Amino acid sequence: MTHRRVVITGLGCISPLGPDVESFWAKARLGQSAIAPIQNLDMSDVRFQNGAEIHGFVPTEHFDDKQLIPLDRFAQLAVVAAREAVRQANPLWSDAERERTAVVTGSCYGGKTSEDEGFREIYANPGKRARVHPMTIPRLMANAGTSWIAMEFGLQGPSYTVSTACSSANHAIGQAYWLVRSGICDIAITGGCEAPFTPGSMKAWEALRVVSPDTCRPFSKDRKGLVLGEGAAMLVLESEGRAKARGAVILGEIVGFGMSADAHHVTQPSVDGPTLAIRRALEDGGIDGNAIGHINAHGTGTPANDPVETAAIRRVLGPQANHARVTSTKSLLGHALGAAGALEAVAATLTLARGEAPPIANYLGPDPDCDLPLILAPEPCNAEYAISNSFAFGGLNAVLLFRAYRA
Amino acid sequence: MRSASNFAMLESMSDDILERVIKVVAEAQKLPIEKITVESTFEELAIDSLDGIQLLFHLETEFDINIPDEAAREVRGIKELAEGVEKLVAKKAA
Repeated sequence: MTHRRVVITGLGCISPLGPDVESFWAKARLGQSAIAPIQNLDMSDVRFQNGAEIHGFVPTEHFDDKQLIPLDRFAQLAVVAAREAVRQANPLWSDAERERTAVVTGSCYGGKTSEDEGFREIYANPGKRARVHPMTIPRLMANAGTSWIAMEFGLQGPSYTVSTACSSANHAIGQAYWLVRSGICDIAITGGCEAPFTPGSMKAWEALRVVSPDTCRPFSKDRKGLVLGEGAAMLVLESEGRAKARGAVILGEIVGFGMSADAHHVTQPSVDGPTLAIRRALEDGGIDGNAIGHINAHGTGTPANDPVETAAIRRVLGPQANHARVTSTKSLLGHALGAAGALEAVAATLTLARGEAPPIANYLGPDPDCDLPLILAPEPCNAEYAISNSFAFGGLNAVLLFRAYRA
Repeated sequence: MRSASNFAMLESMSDDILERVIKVVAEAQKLPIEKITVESTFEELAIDSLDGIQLLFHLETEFDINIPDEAAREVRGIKELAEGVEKLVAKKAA
């Protein structure tokens, strides 16, 4: 089977670093972290206090009152990011092409905000005929992001949502990439969206004891855990042939995708699972580990993830693991769960395209179990290939392989 | 201002209930209240099925009633809506 090349012609994101891609990159490239005390929730009864929230997002600036009724925050973010990506790509769809455009998004939680608010009424008032808003189901369904993007642009191709916790967006982007590469679709809008800041969700993360009491310090000594984040990012993927024929500006290329399951433990990571996913991504792209010059790591900053990820990278890359430069943008953006891989895909694409790599923030010093060539200050990047890792609770791993676009 | 036709149909319907129903519809649909008459159909007011579900939700709140699915399904306009609400309000009072 001959594979078509798949290029990126549009990027969009709304994140704690800013409302669009350029504001995101202006801060990310300098390693400026958005992690700060959580302001939109009462955190007085929660052990951790910090998160990476989006501030200044006013839904009515993006949607009219009627549009907003069935839209949870996570789906609002999805549509806003997709609009930016589509505006940049300007795909010039024909009607026939709309039927061959996929929309594949990732979300871990779906409309958690609506679910939390609605169900609180029910549980607090048993037997009192408490009701939930009639749009609660459309708001909370995890596929809402995909559905509203499809409706926004009239896209009728294969469209669905992938929910694999922290790997959701990487699984989604990988699926979309394969849909375009195989010729099933010509264009895809793909990424992830998440809005996890609700009281119930904060207490659940607190109980799991993986959230840092201060900040996110990937691969650092004295790292204490992850910090939650929110946001959405979307990419427009397109067959290279179509993009070139219409003279589109090509921002980057996806050349491989690998998946695996740890089949090991629900929260304790294994080295084998991530190793297999990274290896599969390289095989899918037809390259070996020596070609990898940049890694956007899963890098959650938990004591458990970072040494396991280090070992997996070393196993696959061998001696090249001493040279491939590693960042984790979770130190800037927090962990946006089902959107994380999409925000990191935007970062990886811009790293290769603009030749500058965003550094890890909040680093305190080396941990011998995390001895990778970490990017700790802004630096140029001349890598041709980069991988972006996502490893989910439940042991589900997804790795994307990016290439700087060369015609 | 309510149109005069609202009153012509009102021999058996409470003014108060009709007025409140129209107010709920106007607010929920963001329509000028004078555009809504007792004869208005949902089609004329561009109230789709999703809007209809939300109207029922707001009417349940306004009148503290429980509107059964079956009764709701047959409603096509303001008159039927107000009549249905009136029946449920009467039932509640009985």
